[in-house]
Amino acid sequence: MTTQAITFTVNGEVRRAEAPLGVTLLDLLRGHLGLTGAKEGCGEGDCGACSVLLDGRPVNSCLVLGVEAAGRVVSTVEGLAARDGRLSALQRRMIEAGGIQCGFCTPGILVAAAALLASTPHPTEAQVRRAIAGNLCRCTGYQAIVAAVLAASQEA
Amino acid sequence: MNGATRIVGRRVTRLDAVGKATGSTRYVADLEIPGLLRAKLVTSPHPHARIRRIDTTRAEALAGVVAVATHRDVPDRRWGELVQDQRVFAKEKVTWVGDPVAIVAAVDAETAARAAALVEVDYEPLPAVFAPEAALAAGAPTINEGWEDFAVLPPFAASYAEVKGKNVAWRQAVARGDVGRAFREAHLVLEETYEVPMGQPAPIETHALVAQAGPDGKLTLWTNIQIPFGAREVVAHALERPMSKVRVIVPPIGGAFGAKCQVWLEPHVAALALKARRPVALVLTREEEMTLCQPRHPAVIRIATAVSREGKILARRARTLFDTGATTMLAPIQAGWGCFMAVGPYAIPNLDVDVACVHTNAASCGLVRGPSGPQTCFAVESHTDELAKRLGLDPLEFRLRNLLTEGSEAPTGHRLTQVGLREALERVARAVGWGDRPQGTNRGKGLAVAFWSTLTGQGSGAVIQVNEDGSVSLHTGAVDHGTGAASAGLAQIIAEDLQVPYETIGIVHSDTETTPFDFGGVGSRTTFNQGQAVRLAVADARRQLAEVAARELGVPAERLELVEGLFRVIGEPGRQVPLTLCAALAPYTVGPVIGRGTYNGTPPSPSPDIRFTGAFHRSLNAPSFGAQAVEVEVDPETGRVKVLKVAAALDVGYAINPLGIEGQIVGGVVQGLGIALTERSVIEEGRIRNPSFLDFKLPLAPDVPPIEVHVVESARSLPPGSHPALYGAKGVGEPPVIPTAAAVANAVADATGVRHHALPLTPERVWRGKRTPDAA
Repeated sequence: MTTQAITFTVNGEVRRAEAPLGVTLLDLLRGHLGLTGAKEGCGEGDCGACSVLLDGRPVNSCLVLGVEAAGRVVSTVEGLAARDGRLSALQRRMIEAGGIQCGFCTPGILVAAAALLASTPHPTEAQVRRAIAGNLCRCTGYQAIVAAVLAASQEA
Repeated sequence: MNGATRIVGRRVTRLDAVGKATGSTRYVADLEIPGLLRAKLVTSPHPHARIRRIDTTRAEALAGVVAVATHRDVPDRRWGELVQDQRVFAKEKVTWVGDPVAIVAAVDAETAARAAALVEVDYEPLPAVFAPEAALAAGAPTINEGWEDFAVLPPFAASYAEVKGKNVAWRQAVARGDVGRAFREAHLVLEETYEVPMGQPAPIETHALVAQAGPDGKLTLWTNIQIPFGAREVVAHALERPMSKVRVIVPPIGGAFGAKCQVWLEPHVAALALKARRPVALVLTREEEMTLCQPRHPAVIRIATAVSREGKILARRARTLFDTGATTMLAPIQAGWGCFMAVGPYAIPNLDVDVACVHTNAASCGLVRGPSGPQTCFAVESHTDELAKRLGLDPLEFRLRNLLTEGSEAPTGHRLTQVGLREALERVARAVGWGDRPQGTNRGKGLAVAFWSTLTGQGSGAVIQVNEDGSVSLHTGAVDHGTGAASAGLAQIIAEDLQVPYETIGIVHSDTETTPFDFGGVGSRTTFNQGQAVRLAVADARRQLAEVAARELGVPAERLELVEGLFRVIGEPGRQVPLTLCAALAPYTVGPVIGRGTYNGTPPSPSPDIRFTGAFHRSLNAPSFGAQAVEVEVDPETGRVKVLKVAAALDVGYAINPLGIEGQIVGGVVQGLGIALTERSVIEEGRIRNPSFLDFKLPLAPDVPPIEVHVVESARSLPPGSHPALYGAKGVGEPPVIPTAAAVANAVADATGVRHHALPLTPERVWRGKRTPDAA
């Protein structure tokens, strides 16, 4: 497959990759950069398990080509904690509230919620629910996740 | 009475949460092995067809293809966990759209998919049958050819012989008393029929498997299955090799809900790895997940009930037909539980219940969370409201007159204890302001109650090693499929009994080679069964540590007590040694501290006056009792149902981790809301037409109303000395999903005055129901 050399910023680090033209950003992150935090739940943009931030905005990385990330800034769940491993308020609150069960949707929900809190530091419950409306969770029923995001927003 | 506890009973966060919150937890599809190939299944496009010829030459010739496996590459035998009725790869015929015919391994997923399309199969279509009633008709085509001679798991062979037949996967009937007489003498008899369509467990992680064959032929499988030891048994059987040559490892599972509780594609991927002589990975697409992987059984439930003038239920007759699809899988369990679900948590003296799982040329259905529960509860609890209406009784009052209570007989005839059902119902009724139901507002309230058994009798083992610093490594066959039963509950039990810090406990999960047997993460059984095995393992380890302490203190071990992490000589304050020191000394004195515990509970026996046919389940072990109340608003213009509030109560006996239990309850309720309102697999001529999250709509965060949780702990009020093992804790995982759809349906009937006899309650259905109520 034809490839294209791209340079982009991933979780604050400049990365280079030989991106095959037909490969999604999700597969590029998972297969080429070893960042397996983002998951594939459907491959069709319906479930949000593959959510990452592209220039700060949540995208379904299964619907974005890897080469489209050239020159841009990508943030994944692996970039949420501090470099020394300290968890972000959002991660801590997710754990404390019981917002994590099987954990498969968690990376996508965390980045979607992080994007919300970056743009709207003190969201309403309805805003939180809308912000994660593109992320399916089959375990938790969302209630603990919403509580966690609201609790994290109180720390800001 | 349970004594005071330090950590059991507290809200603790799970030990695996940090890995999951940071994206570092590795699920099956995240595994990397050098040389890993990608696999693709070749499946039948026909619901029923003879196979004339399979030609793999063009597929094998494609560059990048390493191996193609078909029935020619596996032993000529059938497998099945209960009834051995299926082949790994179809040989003589295919019996459903999706029936695996071949599997391809190639260097990448694209090549594998292209090669799969090049496998040529010459089919001769056969007449197919798509409805259980039609499949049972005399002239129907035979789907389960060879049924006369299928091998059956020995304990159930006699039961199978009673019910086996053409296109019958299983049937269980339960009878007691004299239903005919009760019906003749009753004040009122009501008969109704309810239907529930096919549904989906829909874990966000699809089925994923990696298989590798060593040079000695030893197979290692990484698979997201709920029953690792069952998978090992099936692979060993299907591929004719000893269990010692099959190792099954289950990494963390990205949700299961029963989707992964039956062995399914493990033999296929194992056979492919053997042929390819390289590791292979099969990760299903969402479309494959929703077409190939044991959806929730469609059901038609006919139910008739006789009641007295005073509002007591006298007798029930129920006939349930589950559309099991082409192969048996775990249908006997569906039929067994279906019998008790058709009774519901009521004291009914006369019963005639018959539940059949019938083959059709459709995907084999499976045991989805609370199998038979949501479907049957929808029928039973809608019917309960209809009975109340005809009696002129409030639905709450009618239920209270008939509920199981402490000391009641279960439908299997044994005496029930720890029955917190009345409290559960009264609490949820209060939570939604039951007495206040203004008419004519498009708003309505509904109630539903249910029970569910805690599976036991299949065996659980646990081993703990107390490390030299006093920390503990638990080796458990229990899987981690997200519930937290293991990653919080078992660790709490260890921390409690050994008086060590919770955070210092590490867990090694579900590896058939390194962890002891556990039947699996199914049937709401992990805490109940593993918990008791773990307690025994801790007791064993404590004895070994006490032996060290006894040597240190120069007294017999019997004179020691463990208090706050110190072994103390009873009655001699200050004469003590820390457990941590004993742990450090142990390897060099009594030997490493390794505690073992095994547990296999005995479910209560049924009363001899219960008549079973095709008995698979004969008892309800430690049933959990649930009640839910729902308030809805129905838009008269569009028929859209908006759920305003849900109150959910569950009698869990004793809450080992309330945080985890609340998570199970809220999650179960939301799955129930999906069943109630939106979720339906559309199946036409055996083809599932909507296998995507776009067309099969799960509840989203903005769709979900506030859910108020009430954890009822019936074990807390037991008299001193009478509490059962493990504090009286009962199963939690499945029961919350069972009553929700029924409660929503009752609320919609309350709001609209129209009783719906089918799910889901889509806007179209509700809108039409308002116009033609008789057709609802």
